Amino acid sequence: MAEDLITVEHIRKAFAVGAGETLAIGDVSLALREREFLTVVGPSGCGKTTLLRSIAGLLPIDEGEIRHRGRSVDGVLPAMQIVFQEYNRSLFPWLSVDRNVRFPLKGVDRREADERVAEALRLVHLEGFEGHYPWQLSGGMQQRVAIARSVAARAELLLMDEPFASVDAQTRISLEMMLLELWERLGISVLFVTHDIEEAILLSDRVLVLSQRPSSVIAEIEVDLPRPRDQLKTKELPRFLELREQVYGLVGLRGEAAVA
Amino acid sequence: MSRRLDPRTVAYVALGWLVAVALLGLWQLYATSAELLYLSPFSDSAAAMWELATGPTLTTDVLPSIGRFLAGYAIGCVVGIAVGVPIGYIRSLEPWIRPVLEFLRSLPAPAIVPIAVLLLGASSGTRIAVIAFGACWAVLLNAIDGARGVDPLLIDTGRVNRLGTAAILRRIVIPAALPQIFAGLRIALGIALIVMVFSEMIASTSGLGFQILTSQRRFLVPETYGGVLLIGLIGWAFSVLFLYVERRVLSWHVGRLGGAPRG
Repeated sequence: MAEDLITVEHIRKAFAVGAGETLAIGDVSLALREREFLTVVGPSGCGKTTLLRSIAGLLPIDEGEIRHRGRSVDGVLPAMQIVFQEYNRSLFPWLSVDRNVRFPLKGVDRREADERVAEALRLVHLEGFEGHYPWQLSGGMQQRVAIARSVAARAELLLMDEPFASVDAQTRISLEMMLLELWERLGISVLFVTHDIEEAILLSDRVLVLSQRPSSVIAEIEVDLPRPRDQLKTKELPRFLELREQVYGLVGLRGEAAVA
Repeated sequence: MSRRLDPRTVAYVALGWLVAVALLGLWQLYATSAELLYLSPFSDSAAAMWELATGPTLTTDVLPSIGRFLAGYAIGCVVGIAVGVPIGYIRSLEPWIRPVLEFLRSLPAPAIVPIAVLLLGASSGTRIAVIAFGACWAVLLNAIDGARGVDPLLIDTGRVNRLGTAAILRRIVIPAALPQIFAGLRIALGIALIVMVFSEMIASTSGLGFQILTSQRRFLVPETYGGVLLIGLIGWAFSVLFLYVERRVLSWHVGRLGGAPRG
């Protein structure tokens, strides 16, 4: 079994609301292994984004510990990039595509930076769009620029916050396949957050199911489906359907319990 | 510039110029026919302006005025950005200084010229300081609002890439706030010109404002009008230059809004 890249132990996070506070994360522990594709699913508003931002180190946590290769981290994780759902807000509108991708490479030797940017754009199939501005691209292409930026930065860990939730279905399919290709090729670890159960199973090695707020992990499911995964063939496997039913049950049941 | 000109745009521009020429013609006709003591015809005024702009006054008055205007404007803009951006970014700072800023901003800069002359003397540096004072507020307040409005996701992207506060300000906050900062710079340009002229009318021995006031006191009517015309032309030239720079720097912004460049 591969070594843990990220270990999250008993973190808790509350937000001040007026005089009181709202508990967003009750108690979450998880481990992300090297080269693993781990997905967190849960009902809307269960605190998935808060969890991701807390793990990234963008939000201070109230309790618990986050470790990177066994060493406690205070602040932003090293060698990590985030791909946000809102692609139109995470790219720099005043920078052309190649300059957006180059953004993390300040201080890198110019020739090497050129090569990394070209390679990253090739990997996300955006050659020829170097001089375009983000607003001149479709949503799916903008998200590919954001992914290329992470690739160029040589991130070993990619945190993805519902990255494909705001693009149309066909674009989403091609982005999912592109992401899997990149993940296998680059040997990176991915922590993916989504509310789409099929997407979670299709992409991941493991799926964690979160409860309603205050969130905690209610189930961990090994996705023992063969790789490489395929949009059609994988989704037709009996095992895929079994897993889907299992996760739907976990998410749905909890949802109803919370409403009642 | 290689763009083909739209005939309709050409027609609009031509019409605008036609109106301007017509107004000057009216001025000329009225002044020459009525022979008013305190209204010199456009031709005489323009000749006086030309004399002012090309004669010895070019180096004693016109250029020093423009120099003070540019120096004061530049200082005001730099101070406005350098102070406003961090204030807007570090939100917790703002409540502390907002009332002071609002008061200082509301103060018409010409009103402090006498005090500045008292405190700093009637020097060129005093006038530059007053111009800078007048220009900085519009820039400062726009920089605060612009920096405060930067999308937090862009800041997060900077933090993920382990940028320090200074790098975040330089590489993210300032460029993101630039459209709003430019709105402030544009207002400040007009204010700087006003303060320049006025500051030269108090305890002064040179400059365009001084020339206008002196001509008026000596009943040199065409020279008085000529001075005003020249200041108008200078202001117009700088605002054209400003629009050109703004359009180049903010081309990404204009394109993103999907509209034609304004102006």
